[in-house]
Amino acid sequence: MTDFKPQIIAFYCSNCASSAATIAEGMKKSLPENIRTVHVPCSGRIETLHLLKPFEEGVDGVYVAGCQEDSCQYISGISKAARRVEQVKKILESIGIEPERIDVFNLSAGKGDAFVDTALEMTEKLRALGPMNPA
Amino acid sequence: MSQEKPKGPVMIIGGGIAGIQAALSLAGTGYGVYLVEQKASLGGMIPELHRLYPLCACCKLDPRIAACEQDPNIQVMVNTRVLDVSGKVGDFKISLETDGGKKDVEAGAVVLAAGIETFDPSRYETYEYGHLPNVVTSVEYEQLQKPLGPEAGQLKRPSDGKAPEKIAWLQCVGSRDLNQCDAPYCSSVCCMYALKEALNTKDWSEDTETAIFYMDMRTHGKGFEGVLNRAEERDVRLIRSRVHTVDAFPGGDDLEIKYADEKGELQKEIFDMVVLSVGLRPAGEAVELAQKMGVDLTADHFVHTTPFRPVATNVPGIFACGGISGPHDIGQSITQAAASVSEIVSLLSPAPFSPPEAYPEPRDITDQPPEILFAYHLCPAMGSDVGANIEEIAKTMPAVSSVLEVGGDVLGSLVEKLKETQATRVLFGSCTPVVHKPLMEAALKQAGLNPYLYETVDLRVVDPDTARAHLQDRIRMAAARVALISPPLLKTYPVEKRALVVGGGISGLESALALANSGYPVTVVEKEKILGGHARHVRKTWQGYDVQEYFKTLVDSVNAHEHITVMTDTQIKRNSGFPGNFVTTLNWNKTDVDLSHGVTILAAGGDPIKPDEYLYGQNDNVYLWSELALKMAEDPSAFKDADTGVFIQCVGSREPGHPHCSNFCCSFSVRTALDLKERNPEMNLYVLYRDMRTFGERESIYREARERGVIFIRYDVDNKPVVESSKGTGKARVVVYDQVLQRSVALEADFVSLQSAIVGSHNEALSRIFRVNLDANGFLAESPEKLKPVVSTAEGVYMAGLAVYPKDTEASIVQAKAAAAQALEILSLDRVQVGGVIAEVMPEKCAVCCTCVRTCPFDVPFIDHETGAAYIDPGLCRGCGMCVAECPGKAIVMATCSDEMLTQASAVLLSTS
Repeated sequence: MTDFKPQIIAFYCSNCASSAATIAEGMKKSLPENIRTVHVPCSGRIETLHLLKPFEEGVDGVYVAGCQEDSCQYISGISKAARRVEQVKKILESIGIEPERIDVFNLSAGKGDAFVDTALEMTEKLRALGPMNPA
Repeated sequence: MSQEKPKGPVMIIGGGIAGIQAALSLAGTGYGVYLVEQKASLGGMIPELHRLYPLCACCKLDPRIAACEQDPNIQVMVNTRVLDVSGKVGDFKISLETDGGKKDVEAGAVVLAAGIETFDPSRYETYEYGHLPNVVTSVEYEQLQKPLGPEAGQLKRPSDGKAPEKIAWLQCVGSRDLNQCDAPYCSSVCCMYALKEALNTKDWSEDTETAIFYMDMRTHGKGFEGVLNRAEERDVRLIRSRVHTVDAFPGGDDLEIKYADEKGELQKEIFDMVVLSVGLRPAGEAVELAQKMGVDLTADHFVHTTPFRPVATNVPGIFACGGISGPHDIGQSITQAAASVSEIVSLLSPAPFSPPEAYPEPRDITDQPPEILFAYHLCPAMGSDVGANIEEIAKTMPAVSSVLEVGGDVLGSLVEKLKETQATRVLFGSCTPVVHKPLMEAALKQAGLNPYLYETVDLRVVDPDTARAHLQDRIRMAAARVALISPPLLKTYPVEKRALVVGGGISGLESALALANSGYPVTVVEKEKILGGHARHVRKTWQGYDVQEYFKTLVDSVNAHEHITVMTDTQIKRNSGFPGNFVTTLNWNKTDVDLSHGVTILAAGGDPIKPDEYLYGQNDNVYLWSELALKMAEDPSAFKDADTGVFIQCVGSREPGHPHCSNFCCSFSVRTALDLKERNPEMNLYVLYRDMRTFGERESIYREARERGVIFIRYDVDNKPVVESSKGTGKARVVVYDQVLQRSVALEADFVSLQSAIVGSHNEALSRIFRVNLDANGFLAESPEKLKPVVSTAEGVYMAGLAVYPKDTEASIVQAKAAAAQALEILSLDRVQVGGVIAEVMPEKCAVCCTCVRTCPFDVPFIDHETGAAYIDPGLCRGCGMCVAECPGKAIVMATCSDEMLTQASAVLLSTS
């Protein structure tokens, strides 16, 4: 159980989250290997289907990293993303998958720490939940 | 105003960063340019340095050099010396000596961008430079650190190849020293580079001990104080001292430094290596040339300019920028170069060598399977196996038809390879992909392809253990995406040839005047009822020039100019559009007015914070610095009879809340103290400071002030001065702990001036309205493309003045003119291209449900009744993709971030694990 490395797909907005990633790199911090990232121009671009697809491919968790509610340069992108994540949680629950396997995080451009901490937090949560498809 | 300007090409003397910048900017505005360099290659000092502050930008110089060499409007002449310059504006004759003999060229204007040298410390006996191998100059140290250098990034000390465990930097070697090296000025850049070198050393090996011996730590520029704080966090020792001697320590190659600490006590310490932070000086030959040209020099042999026309020499038509005009850093040199361009555009009509470049029509690739050219650029700081890893990973990907490592002339080699292979997509890997985006777009355009058919891969990896896995993920993902991009819609629009300048202070007005003198209409918007900003209470520049007199002339020229419209008492409500075609809604006289403009210059100013300490607002004798200056400007006899005056520096600056240094407060206090002494030589004046930051040639007034009896007392931030009201007299009693005397001193002051932190006035609102980013201190952030100090993070939006960072009048004027010059690069175009990362409606699928109309945060989509479908203007769409996600009929597509890309993403990524 302890060496379970959850596979995670993370959707990142190209604004806050990517700047945070650059700063994290400057701080010599990087994402753990189990996180694979997909960049989108704005978290509001992400649809329910995009979020469900990774589960079909067998990942253990998914998260969306976008801007702070009040600093999205597209104004409502992150709130739209948050609503979609809520919707996906319901779908997951209805088919017997823990809704905690998906989450949304608000990052901000200057916070390199938070960028990496988010990934670690999600990893820990999924380790507690265990693999999606126990062999 | 409409008399004919003379016409001609421009001669730029000196191929360092300033000359390169001036050449590119002039060519971009339609001028033919001769770029003359004495050495065999362009680049000046930068190639000798390891990493530039604040980020590694080694990859930014090579493309610029290549761009100079390729531009048909720039004639690069290396190995060429200028023998003489004669003539006048519009008609200069320049005699050159090249390999092939002598040659004369004619030019309409001349930019003197030649020359900086570093001080040669071998004449200082005390440091034993040249005798002890482990005493090196800072430039030599950069070479030792450089990953491409002889030791490939493994730091070894010269004598025995040992990895140094303890290194000392000695500041002010060849600076702030009149006696031994004839350089009384501060070289302005050495504190920052010593900190940078120490931090780079820590990056290389955290355990290496580093110590910097200094007099005043001068980190006065934008973002510099953050570097100082980082250095302290990482245990770089900062030792305030005067170094006595460096000697060989008996029995080995180590060195012993003898120094006097702040208390004047002699100390000794042993180091493995000593780095001499050598100062800058104008290059000897360039100085001789300037003299031959009739250009006035300062006492320090730099080119003399006045603060109100900072890049203009005394000879009309001859301008100076970069190191020849003073000890400047790279950012300042680039800004000055751009400012000279602005001066030239107001003076001279362009005489191009060749017509503007026309791109071929993008060819139709609809039915072709994607063939990817994978190009990558390795940065010297990267691991040595990155290239091999990339080549190996690329082999496993069938869609990648060719792989190319690029360097130097990136653009040229990409275009050539694209033409040769007929590839239809580019995948580009580099350390900072955002830097290379404009390059990708240019390469695709030149190769006859849609400029958005590329994807970038970030090659930086932090953890070497997972490097390969990370690289593989990123490359596969990017390759999958680039294969799926369909050529996005492109459209061109005419450029709206007007500038909007936000802010009616010195910076705003100087920008406006520069643009108007170049022939473009400008609207200046000022929130207050009158123009002026802080200029209204700036008395004098640090040199002593009268700012009020200059400012009155400036306002008069602005008001009289046929191309300038001034709108005071006007608010900005909204802005939309794209570079070349913005619309800003202004509120004037309670009415909204829409203004169309092609570019925006933000110059909204800054304010000193109101302190909540030192009895400000409680004792009438305690002034904010702007209040003191205003009082002195209005009443020349103010404070004449005062017995004692105290200046307190860094009020609310350089501490949590406002961690930045406000740059010009030290010079302000020294200048003001000198003027007060002039009026009443008996007055006792004290400046309480943390570090005296009279950088550059400002050092001369610091020296003068000490000579004339102004007393400087250093205080520690943990033991600040205390101000109390004296009973009875009402005077302000200032108690400060003197570090040299090691006891408290009480000063009965008739007036106290508080030099408080300067912050941007309206930056938060502006950042929202104009979609520009702010830096950590709330100032307008500069473009992520690096080395573009007056370009904001939004295209077509430029910036100047206190809103960018605290700076004095002269620096504000330079920046304002530079912003104008950069804006000209868009204003001088006839059409701009839009499209790319945008949403596009497929009319045949649209059910006219209006979801997109309601979803769009910027109200862009509307129903076009002619087609019976929604329409999204490619110029106004900002490319968030929200409407694409919301459209129930899937009638809106985004070529650069399609559903296919997003649904296939996880499969692509997981297939590698």
